[in-house]
Amino acid sequence: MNEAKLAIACQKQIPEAQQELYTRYAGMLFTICIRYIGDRSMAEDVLHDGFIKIFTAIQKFQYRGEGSLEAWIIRVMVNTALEQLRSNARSQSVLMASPNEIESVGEEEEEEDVLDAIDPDTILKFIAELPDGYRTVFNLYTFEEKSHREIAQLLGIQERSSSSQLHRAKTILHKRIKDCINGSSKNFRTPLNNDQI
Amino acid sequence: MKQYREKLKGHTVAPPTELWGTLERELANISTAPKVRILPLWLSVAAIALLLLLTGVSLFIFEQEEVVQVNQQTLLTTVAEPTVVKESPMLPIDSSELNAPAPKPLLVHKHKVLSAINDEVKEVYPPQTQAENLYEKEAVDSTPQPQERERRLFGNTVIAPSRSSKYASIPHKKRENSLWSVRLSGSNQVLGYSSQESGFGSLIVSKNREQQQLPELGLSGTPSNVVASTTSNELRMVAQQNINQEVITTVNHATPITLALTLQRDLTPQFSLESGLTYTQLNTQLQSGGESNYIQTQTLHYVGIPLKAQWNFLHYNRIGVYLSAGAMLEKCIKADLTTTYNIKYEGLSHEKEELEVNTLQLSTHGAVGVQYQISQPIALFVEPGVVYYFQSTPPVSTLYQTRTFNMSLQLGLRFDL
Repeated sequence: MNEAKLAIACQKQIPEAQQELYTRYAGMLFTICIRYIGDRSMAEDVLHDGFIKIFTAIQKFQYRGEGSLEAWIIRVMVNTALEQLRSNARSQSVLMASPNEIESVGEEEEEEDVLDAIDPDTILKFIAELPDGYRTVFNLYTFEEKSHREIAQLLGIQERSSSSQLHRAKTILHKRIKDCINGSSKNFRTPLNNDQI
Repeated sequence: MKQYREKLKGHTVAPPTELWGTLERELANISTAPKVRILPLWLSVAAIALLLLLTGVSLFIFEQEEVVQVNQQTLLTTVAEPTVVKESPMLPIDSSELNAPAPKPLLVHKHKVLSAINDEVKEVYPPQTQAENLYEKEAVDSTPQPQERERRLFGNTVIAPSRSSKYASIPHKKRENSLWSVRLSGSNQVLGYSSQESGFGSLIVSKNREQQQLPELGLSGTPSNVVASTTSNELRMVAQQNINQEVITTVNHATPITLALTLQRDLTPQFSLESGLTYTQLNTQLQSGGESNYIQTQTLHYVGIPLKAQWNFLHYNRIGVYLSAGAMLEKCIKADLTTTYNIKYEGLSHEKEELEVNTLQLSTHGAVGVQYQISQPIALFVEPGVVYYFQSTPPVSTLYQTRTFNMSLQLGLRFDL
């Protein structure tokens, strides 16, 4: 079933189509949820809520060519995750790295070719482990390709704050990846437990 | 950055196995069908059902009444005329009698009535009981020198358990000397209005008629008729966010509620005139755009002066049925428009402004009413009806323009003064 037919069938609330849509996108969307939320069990909740939204809001979806359904679904899921992060932020103070920690990770910009040596699960784990604020900015900038201006509007922060958080997120990630590679070459001195992801 | 994206592209993490089962169960309970205006629809069906029921009941009662009228025509017509009491040469009423228990004035009615009834009527009725006799005696004793023949007839008529007695004992409309009553009511226009159009739109109607169609927003332009006073910076941002998709504008006029306080005066026992003050609130919401959108919420407060005529054509026990028709002139006393701009579901800004709506709105309406006399001075009434709003051109879009013909359901209380 192509995207257009799948969308129409889901709009008609045909259970088989809904299951097909779930099967097709759940894995990818779960990655997105973990990437945004960090905590796996909370990401499961977001995945659930996001799918409910997808299936109820699909009536309003208008097909605009191959890929538009996937893009729309991702957008709904990202928005659900952002809502969850906002409500987390309201109920508890936002997890931000302390200034000391930021200083300790250094400021230098480095090449990203180190990523080649590392598997996606580990990268996902590292992103998930970023502090909430950094992670959100990093995700929106890197994966949703939002500008700092858009991120600032979305999150209600200053543009400058968005770019500095992105920079710090990249620095932390880079350091962790480097440590990981170094660790691997030294016979897993600091082994990573990818199963936790 | 790109490398991160590439690295995680197509990456999947297996979701919990039980999730689909949970979703499937929940989806079965969620109806995602387009929203149906359940309440108004339900109300309109109820109103139609009530109208049919009233017609049915009315016809039935009419039929029954005609049968009675064959024998009791004089009785009924005379009883229906409360002024008779005052004209009675035999039974002057003092103020203490007016406050007496309900049956007493009715006895008085009949006393007068009976002078017109021939002896044949008397023989139809069964004999009176002792207790009723006593009451009758007391009542009669208070009348100055009643003639023997009349007294006998009087008693007979009162105790008669026939249908004619039921009619005769109707507290017809109100106390004999009461011509005025106050009506306090709330009513609802049964049908609201929803529409969807493509392009950006606004509740503010442009003076240029051609621009009333919701305009498509160009990439650089802004819709000319969207709140002129906005800085339109927010609007431009909303527009930019929607560049790559078709923009839908949804307008939803809520069903308005009207509160009314009116005075009613009886011209004859059947006809009365009614006027007073009404207050109506009209709420409308407009949404343009997708995830990034702007929402206009408009509230108009109307005060109106109604003028209605009422024909009470039927009474049965405590229930009265009437037809009502009239017109109303309304003026908007206050109008607010609140615009909220959202970027990706996130509130960007919020602005409120007062609008000037000076147009007068004329409407006409007709209704079938049924009222139930709860106690002597208080009656409950319900009036399903239809209303027509004459064309007017206020600077904003309201339900009055979009649904000129509507159904209404009015509920209220009437207090006899």
